[in-house]
Amino acid sequence: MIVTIDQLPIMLTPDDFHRLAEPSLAPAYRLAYALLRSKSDAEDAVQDSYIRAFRAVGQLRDEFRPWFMAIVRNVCYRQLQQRQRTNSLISLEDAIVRHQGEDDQDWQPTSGERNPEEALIAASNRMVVRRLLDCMPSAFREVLFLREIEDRSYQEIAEIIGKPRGTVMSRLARARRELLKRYRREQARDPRDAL
Amino acid sequence: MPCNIPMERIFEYADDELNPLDKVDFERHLAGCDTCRSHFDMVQRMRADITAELSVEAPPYLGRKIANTLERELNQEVLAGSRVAQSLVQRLGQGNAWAQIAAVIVLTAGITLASSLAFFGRPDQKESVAQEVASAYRRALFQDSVVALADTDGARLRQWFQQKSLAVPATLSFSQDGFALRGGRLDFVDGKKAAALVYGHESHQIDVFIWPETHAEQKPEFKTSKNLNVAYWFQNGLEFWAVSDASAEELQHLSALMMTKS
Repeated sequence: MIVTIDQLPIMLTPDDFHRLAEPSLAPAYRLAYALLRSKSDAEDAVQDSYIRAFRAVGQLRDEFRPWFMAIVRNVCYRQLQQRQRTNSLISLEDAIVRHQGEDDQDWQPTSGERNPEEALIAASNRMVVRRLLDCMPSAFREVLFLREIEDRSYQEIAEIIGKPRGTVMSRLARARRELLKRYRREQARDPRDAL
Repeated sequence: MPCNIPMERIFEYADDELNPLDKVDFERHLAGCDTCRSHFDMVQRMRADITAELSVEAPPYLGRKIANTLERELNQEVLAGSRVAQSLVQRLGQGNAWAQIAAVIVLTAGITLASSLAFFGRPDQKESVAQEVASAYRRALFQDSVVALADTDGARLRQWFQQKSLAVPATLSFSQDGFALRGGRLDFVDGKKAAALVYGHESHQIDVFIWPETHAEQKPEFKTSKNLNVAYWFQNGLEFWAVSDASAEELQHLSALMMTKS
């Protein structure tokens, strides 16, 4: 197709593009990490999305951030499909083993605001959340992310993921119910056993 | 007495998704129901934990890493560098390893110097246009096609540009001299609409950007920008900028053809 000069997309240099995209880097990384639950995979996904967005920037018709986040989402789901094809889904056990490595620091009580027992409960709750997020289907993590981090309404989430509002509500409820069940189970035990 | 309020109602309240009447109604209930208050507190704690768990910070190096990758993809430095080094070694007539290493060192030093000058120096206007045409050349390589009109017939291509109110020289085809016309596209360089002609020469692509400019005739001058060779000249009220990964000699050859046959 031949385009007229007036229809030509705005030509951006890599530096121009970087200035445009940089404010979206942090939310894009958070979305990628929420979906992929791996820091290195999240980095790769954001980088891949950047390059795709640069190549397609001529198609941008509205705000940059929602357009870019949709690209990140697609890239992440493609990665997840590839993982499924190679049977490399993260099991709960794998997730626990993984988190005994790089993220050990996160489990230390961080301040003197809580007494030791409260700190242990808080730490064990965080561990419950982390383990459950690791093994929950990505579609459920996504609605949690959009609700809790992006502060989106049910209707906005429905539009982003292309599902009815009722599906958003049921996914949120199911994920939260599962978390609450494990919270209660955790708190019924001596918190020190959890660590 | 057990409370029959479903958890979903607590979630909706916590998410501020209840309509105003339902919200007032639920708050009245919450004030008198220990079970729901306890559930609500736990939901809020859980939400805080989810937020904390998902609020990861992007690594500080990520932005720079991505920018570098983007730049690297565009520049294809390795390919361009190896071609220049190879030709340097061939010209020295020494195919041994030390000569190759020397060539790479010379090349690296040259690139470093050029990059430093580009980074620290204040580019003059021609330098800035050279960078623009080099970027336009790279960008076109990312498109599905480097031309908007794929036509090897110079006369038809010229007519197409004229329909777009863009002037180009009378002769555009130099295939007998080894520069095969592939087509043309419209571009935007130095704040001006430009006709972009695309030629194939051996394994290289040469883009020639043309726009009207009232300037005395001037023979080609040469620059390098973003690891590409650039030549510019003026003739018959037009400004020409040729850019390619082909050698400066090859650009000189094409520019001479364009000047003499126009």
